[in-house]
Amino acid sequence: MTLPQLTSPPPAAGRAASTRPTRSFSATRVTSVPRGITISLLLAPAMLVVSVFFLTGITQAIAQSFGYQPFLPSWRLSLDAYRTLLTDPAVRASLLLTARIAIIPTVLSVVLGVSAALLIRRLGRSRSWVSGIFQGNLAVPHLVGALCMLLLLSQGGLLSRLGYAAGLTQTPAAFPALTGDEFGWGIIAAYVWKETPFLTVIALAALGRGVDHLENAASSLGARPWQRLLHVTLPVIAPAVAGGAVLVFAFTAGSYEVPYLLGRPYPATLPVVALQYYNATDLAARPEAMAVAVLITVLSGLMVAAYLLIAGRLARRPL
Amino acid sequence: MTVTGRGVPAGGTLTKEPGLGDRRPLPVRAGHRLLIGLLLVAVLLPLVPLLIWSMSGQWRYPALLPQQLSLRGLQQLVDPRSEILQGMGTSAVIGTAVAALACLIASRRAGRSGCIGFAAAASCSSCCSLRSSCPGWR
Repeated sequence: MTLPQLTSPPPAAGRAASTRPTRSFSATRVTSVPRGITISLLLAPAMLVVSVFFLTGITQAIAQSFGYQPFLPSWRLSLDAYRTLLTDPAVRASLLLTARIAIIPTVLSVVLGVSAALLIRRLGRSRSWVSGIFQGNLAVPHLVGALCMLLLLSQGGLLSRLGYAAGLTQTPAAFPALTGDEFGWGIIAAYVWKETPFLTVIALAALGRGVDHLENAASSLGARPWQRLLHVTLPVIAPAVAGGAVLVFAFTAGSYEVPYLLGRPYPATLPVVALQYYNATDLAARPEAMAVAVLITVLSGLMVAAYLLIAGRLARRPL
Repeated sequence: MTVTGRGVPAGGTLTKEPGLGDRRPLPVRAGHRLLIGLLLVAVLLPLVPLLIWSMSGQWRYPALLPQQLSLRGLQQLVDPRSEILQGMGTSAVIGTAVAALACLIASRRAGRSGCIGFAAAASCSSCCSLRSSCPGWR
């Protein structure tokens, strides 16, 4: 343990060695390269990927949303695209629908996911295969999930056939339109089906970390089961679940394939509207498409900011 | 992949630690079993029509089961003209590469061995389905 002082004796390491001789070796190793350089070197690959693929795309989108189209002869920078969005009824209807199909699945899947995790946790031997089925659902892509919902919920789908067999409906049209409807029930169902297992897995992972000890302590101090749940279990898993919920919200608000398959062309969600503008034969509509994309990005950014705020509060809150 | 916390075996029982008291096992009532059964049905039910459709030749509206079963869909999977197997190969390569790169890049920041398998499975499956469902993609 005296070796590090011989090889490199920077003042900080020397002090550390004198006060805490048992930890001097690791302290010297860390401080031999300045910490800032080490961190930036280690972060460089991740930052490179983020900046090349993410920042350049965002910059392009913002520039084009202001009318930057050098491939067109008569382009000029303006706020016209954003003005068009303000007056476009498709965008207005889309904002409502997007909020609906993001908020409802997020809330439902948080409630269902946490309840499922609390239930699965009580299981003994069957726990591993039950949680295995939940995790297996994570591997099903959203595209396939949307297709499943189409085959299950549409007016010619399995539920409609069951309704006929039970004598509830006589024709396909008598079954309520759950896919391709104005409210977005099919989209909501697909997202709840996909995101509940995701949040269950997150909650289960958060429940593993020594929550039992805390719960036992609470019980031995006289907490009733529901008090233990409200004041110990839920606060412990809250930060992880809140993070998962923000991911779910950002995903459902920004994802494209499920609302495209299960929704209507009008009102469509914001990502679908962006693609409609983008695929328009008129190249001059490109700034509008990018403006919608920027709008989605800003909304997602606001969500992340809200998450950081909430997560910080939750993590700091004493149990 | 089983997600459990550190020190908690997959079975869900904690090893006894002195000083913390016995862990009283949480009771599993019939109601809980029923709820879990319902959850499992809800998770698996949407996959049922997909499976049946993949093997059906004709399945008109009011029937609960297909009028004709056929292996046409599955034959199309392995038909070289559909290029689906080829697409699956491409997906596997892309999925593996993405998972490996993402783990390489992310492990420096928040290395958790558990997330590697998950990332690999997730990216692989999503790529696979996308590519194989759209064989025209290049």
